[in-house]
Amino acid sequence: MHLDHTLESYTVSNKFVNIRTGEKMFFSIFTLFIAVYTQSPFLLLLILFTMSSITIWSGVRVKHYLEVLMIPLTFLLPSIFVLAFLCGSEPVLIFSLLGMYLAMMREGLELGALLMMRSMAGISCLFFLIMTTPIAEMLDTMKKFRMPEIVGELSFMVYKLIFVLIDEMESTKIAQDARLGYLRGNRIKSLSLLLSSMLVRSLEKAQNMERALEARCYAGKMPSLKFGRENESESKVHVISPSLILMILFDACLLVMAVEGGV
Amino acid sequence: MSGYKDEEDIKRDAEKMVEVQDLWFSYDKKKWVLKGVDMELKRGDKTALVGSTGAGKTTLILHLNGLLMPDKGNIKVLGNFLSYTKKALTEVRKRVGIVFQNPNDQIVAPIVFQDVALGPVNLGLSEGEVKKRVKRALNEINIEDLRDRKAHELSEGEKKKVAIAGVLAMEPDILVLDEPISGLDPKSSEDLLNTIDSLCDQNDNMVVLVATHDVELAYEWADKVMVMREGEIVKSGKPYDVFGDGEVIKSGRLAMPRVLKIYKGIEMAACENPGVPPRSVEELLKVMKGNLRQ
Amino acid sequence: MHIAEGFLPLEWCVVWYALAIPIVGYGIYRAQKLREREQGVMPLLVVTAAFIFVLSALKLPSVTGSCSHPTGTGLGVVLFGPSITAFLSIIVLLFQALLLAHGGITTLGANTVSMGIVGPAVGWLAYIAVRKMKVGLLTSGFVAAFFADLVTYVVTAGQLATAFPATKGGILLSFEAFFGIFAVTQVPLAIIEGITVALALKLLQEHGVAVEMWQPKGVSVSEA
Repeated sequence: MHLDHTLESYTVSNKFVNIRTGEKMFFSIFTLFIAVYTQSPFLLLLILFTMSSITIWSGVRVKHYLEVLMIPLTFLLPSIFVLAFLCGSEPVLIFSLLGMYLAMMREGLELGALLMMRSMAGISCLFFLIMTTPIAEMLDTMKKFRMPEIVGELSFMVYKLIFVLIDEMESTKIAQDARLGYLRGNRIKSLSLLLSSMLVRSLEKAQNMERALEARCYAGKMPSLKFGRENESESKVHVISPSLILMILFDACLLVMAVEGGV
Repeated sequence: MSGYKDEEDIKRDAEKMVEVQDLWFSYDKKKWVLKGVDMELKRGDKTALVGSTGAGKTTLILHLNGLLMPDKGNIKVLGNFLSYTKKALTEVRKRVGIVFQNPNDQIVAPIVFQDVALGPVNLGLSEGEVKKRVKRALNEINIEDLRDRKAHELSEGEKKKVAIAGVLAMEPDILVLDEPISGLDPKSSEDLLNTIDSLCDQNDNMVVLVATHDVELAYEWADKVMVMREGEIVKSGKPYDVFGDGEVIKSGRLAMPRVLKIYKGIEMAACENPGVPPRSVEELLKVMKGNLRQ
Repeated sequence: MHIAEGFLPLEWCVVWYALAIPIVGYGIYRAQKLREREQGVMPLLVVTAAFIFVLSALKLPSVTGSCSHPTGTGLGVVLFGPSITAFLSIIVLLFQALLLAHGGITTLGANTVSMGIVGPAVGWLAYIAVRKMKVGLLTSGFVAAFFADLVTYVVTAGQLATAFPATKGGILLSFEAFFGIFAVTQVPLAIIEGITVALALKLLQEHGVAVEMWQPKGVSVSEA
């Protein structure tokens, strides 16, 4: 799993820390929807390229970025492979398998390529958001949309506990490996044991965590990073910032191109 | 009990900050974890709650700010009975701050100042007030330099301090620390103890309660000690009275603090220079006994 | 398998969102009620969600080169019933999309319907059915998890098929094809998942957790 504290480190110390969370969320999700809407490969590549560049520029290591970008391929490749046989009527490649004739279609391949680009473009939008914005801040912003309290609190604790569970898993896996638990027939049993015992131990963790949060009167609010900026006066928050204008401009251009090209 | 009351004690009697009366509690409705606990904390007290693992210390602590609800008995904080409505609980949690044993359970924000600000922000304080409190809390613990650090990069000792600062930012009247030095190396524990001490000196009015299985810590640090065993407080009083009682030490599965042990030995032996210096407390006692026989 | 970001056409994204939102909303309502009633239930909700996250992030490579993984929702169904499981699932799916690039925001609705709603609902029905036949809690838990897992994949294959019907052969052929590539690995996985959930239930019970906070009618705890 590609989950560790690196991600959280990026989110609190990147070049976009000072841009308001709401703006980043809006930008990322709006661009995402343009990516889903458009049929133009050019626009998709433009989105992929722009989003990836600004994310990497903000302070993410290129190697790490590419690593995570490869994850969705495990779903995409087999699905696209299937699509290539299903959609369209113009075969480009025919071969026989176990007496059946299978034909790869041109339309299917084209659709597959488009889906691939769209998926990658969409993921680059998400990466921009997740690598520049702490989860806690996003949940805080979502609270403004009148989300019930339990949603934010539960989400936040789940997010925290996921990291605990992963640490736990690493340590138990090593423990079980040492006892040769992963050999052949025992494999299923040891995997199940690992997962279920982890669950019980993390229940205690979750209980402690909830009590500690309650003891500090936690009501779903996470202090924003602005509390770290001591010298800034409270009133100095612009409604319209240069970054916001840039984001809106970019999205507006995309939208125009998407609508024009789509007709 | 030491049996006497000096003037100061009498004056303090009027200022019971926390009173626990006949507290009973069970997690599973089968086995009692707390069996009729009585306890009092007065203004300015530095109290240690001592007991071996499983004696019920943490369970008792969790009752003080309403995290657990007693099956029977009363808890009074600042003269008021605890009530368990949301509003009343917020109020009591502002007054009673608990620092948990494992700082990893408590620190939730990615950056130190964010975590310290968590309490005040959730109390709905203004931005200016939050910043002021964060600054003061970090200053009291003497960790201003950790302010912008990432929480997961801190050492265990530093995390403990951040956890304490996070509670101090709520500005409690009663500060409860659960096993503050467990899991720390000797240098960090000493450091943390000094921090707690200076905290007590800075705030004369604050009540500090430390729950620990560490008799050395309790003996050295506390003004008042309560020994807990199987859900009951078996003895409380001045540290040397409580720990001097062999029966309590034995039944509570504790050990006598070393310094006290030595002191008692010296008292008994009234020894002279033993020649070869003893290396352990046991050796020391042997030498002393030898002296006495001569 | 979660459908990847951007893989579904916009109109299908909207359809699946529209189906998911009311049920998730009801789940939130039920979770709020549960929290008011049962003090200290939050940690169990949190742990169950985290369990679903970890299980459904465990990707196992398979012969066909596809990626299959358990879903973990069977545990939620036994502990809290289907609507709260839907709520927990959408949180998990959101985090997987954000943190692991597994699934997506636009496909969140579709993935919630398959993994959070239909799969668990069928698992829940199967669970009730076997519980009423006086089958023990652990075996019933196995059944719940097995069906929740398997049905999730059937639904996902259906979602892909309706969005991308085959030119010759239509939705049905598409469904067969999409299901085919995942079926090979999914049956053994569903079994592993069933065992895991049953074990988890057993351990939780030993730990003193009231495992059936939500109880089907006509089944008493003593039969567990």
